[in-house]
Amino acid sequence: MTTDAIKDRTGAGVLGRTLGRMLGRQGSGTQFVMGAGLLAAALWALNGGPFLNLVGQSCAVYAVAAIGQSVLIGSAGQIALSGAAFMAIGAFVTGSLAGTPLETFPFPLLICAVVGWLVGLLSGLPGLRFRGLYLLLSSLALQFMVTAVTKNYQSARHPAGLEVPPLHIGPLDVSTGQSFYIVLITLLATVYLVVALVERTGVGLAWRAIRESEEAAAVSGVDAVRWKLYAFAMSGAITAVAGCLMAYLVGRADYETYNLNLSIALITMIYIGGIRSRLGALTGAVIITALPYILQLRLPGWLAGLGIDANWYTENQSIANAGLFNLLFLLVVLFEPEGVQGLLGKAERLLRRTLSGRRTGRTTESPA
Amino acid sequence: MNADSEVKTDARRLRVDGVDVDLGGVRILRGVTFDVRPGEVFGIVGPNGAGKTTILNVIDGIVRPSAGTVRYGDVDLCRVRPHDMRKHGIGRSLQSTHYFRDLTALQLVALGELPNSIVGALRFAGHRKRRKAQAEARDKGMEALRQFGLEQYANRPLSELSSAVQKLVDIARAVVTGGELLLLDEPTSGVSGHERGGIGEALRRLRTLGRTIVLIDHDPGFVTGNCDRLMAMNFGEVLDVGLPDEVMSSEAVKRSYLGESANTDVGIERDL
Ligand SMILES: Nc1ncnc2c1ncn2[C@@H]1O[C@H](COP(=O)(O)OP(=O)(O)OP(=O)(O)O)[C@@H](O)[C@H]1O
Ligand SMILES: [Mg+2]
Repeated sequence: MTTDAIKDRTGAGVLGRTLGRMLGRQGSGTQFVMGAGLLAAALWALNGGPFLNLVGQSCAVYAVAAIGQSVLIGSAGQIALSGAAFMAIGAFVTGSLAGTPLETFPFPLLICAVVGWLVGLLSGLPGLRFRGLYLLLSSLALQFMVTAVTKNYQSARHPAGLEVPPLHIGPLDVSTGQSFYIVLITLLATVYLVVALVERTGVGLAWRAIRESEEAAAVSGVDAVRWKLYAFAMSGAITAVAGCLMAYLVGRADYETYNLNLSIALITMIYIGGIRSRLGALTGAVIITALPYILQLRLPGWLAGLGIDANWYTENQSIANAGLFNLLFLLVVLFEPEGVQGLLGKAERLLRRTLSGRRTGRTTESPA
Repeated sequence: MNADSEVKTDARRLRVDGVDVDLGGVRILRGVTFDVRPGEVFGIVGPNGAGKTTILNVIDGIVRPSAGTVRYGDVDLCRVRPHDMRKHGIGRSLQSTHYFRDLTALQLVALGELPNSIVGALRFAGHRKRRKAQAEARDKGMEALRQFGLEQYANRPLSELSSAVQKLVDIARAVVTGGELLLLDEPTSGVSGHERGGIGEALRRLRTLGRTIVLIDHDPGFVTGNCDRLMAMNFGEVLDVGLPDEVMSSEAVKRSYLGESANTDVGIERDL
């Protein structure tokens, strides 16, 4: 999408040209399939009853977090393993606002965004001096620091976790089922659009340039320091908002939820879906969030069908799933670094080649 | 053509004075001193690792010297951040063009036109003004590509283009960012013999336009044929500065190249 940032869009034929370009470009089919698939899944979850509503709610919350991470890691090309820390910040801010005048929605959400922005900005400061491994280590330090602080705070004041009141918008109780799901999807769409708009302003192009080479971007006139910090800040704000939503989803903030495994899971999401796009982040979030539910429901049956005892899996589900995700992550990094989007892209290229091959075979004209 | 450009009243001289650079505990440049006169093409040659690129990095603000000064006219370049160099009319092309792969040629040359502040970004995106700002960026980029006969590559990702074309696009980008002083880091590296002609031609045109150019190249033939004055360096030190032929025939320069050829056969082919 950022490709369009410096294209001319004057004249009345914008729609026609946009459509023509959208369909003509390699990758447009992939985007269409992913978008349509996500939309279908979203509608299915909406009308599929309480259980699917619940799965859909988790997917939406993690999708917001995945977009937050993809801004930093996918768009701006930075390295960080602190997604869970920012979610924890969001959840704990929301939890500690409970019982204060600011517990009214959307105050917690906005405050989370501001706090996440500020902490994100701070977390980006080491990135001005360090790259690669050192940056990764500093993000790990943040992760452990936040875990330590939230753990102490929690055990000192609320051993069972900070309680978060059911979500109300005005007089309306939207804390469960379809209504909560709709709220989450609306917020997800908003976050998605905001990021898309920001990237359109040219910031997206600046991030891409920084991702490819910071020095080369700076030499080309891009204020690499500034846009890098904005990527950290924006990612922090969005991920903290996801933490806030997570707190509403489970009704409490508990430090144990937001551990390093969650940070890794968030990274896995954006890699599995396709690191290069927000659509990929959404897809990855849905896959990684929904997979455990599917496995939990179906895997014992499948294993039994194969004559394998499923007890071990049912008893060690979280470990088994974590192992499975790590394996998936490895497979993606090794064989398809662009994730689901990359796979679909390859299929599309093949299809396009076959189709255009047939067309040029029939007519004698060939493109110059 | 030198006479022409020296008439320019706002012509500025680049002075690099006593520059030391230490990176990772190693001294990479040692008391590097030279002047570049307005409108001249100033060549720099030296074996691999001599510190040529580092000199450009210092001028360009990517690397800060541990001692010494860099002044352009009356501006202290050591206080200017890399992305602000364009404000002083300084543009830089890169030794390797492998940095940018996804960006299209047009996007690359227009990078410098992107907003560098939130307000700028909002204005860039703002309803009516966006069209203007974005169209301007686009026009400026297209104009630069056209100057180098590259308009047909405008919307192609850089990774799809040949190295020679990538180099030219990168030079075009440097020309857009730097109106006055161009720092060109090995414009012909990775470019085959007959394609070098195109790059040489571009250089000559820039020179007739009165641009001041600092030119690094591995091919001494290319540099000596295209520069007014030449600086030879090795191990982070300046060996000699002067007219190209004099420098290339000076004892110190010969020794540095011959010395290297005596120790290692590799590299001499590329360097000389
Ligand atoms: N960031 C850095 N940290 C440590 N050492 C560096 C750094 N950048 C460059 N060097 C070292 O400084 C020396 C000079 O490097 P430089 O790139 O300036 O050489 P060069 O003359 O441009 O060489 P080439 O012809 O290969 O481009 C080399 O030995 C290089 O290894
Ligand atoms: Mg070099």
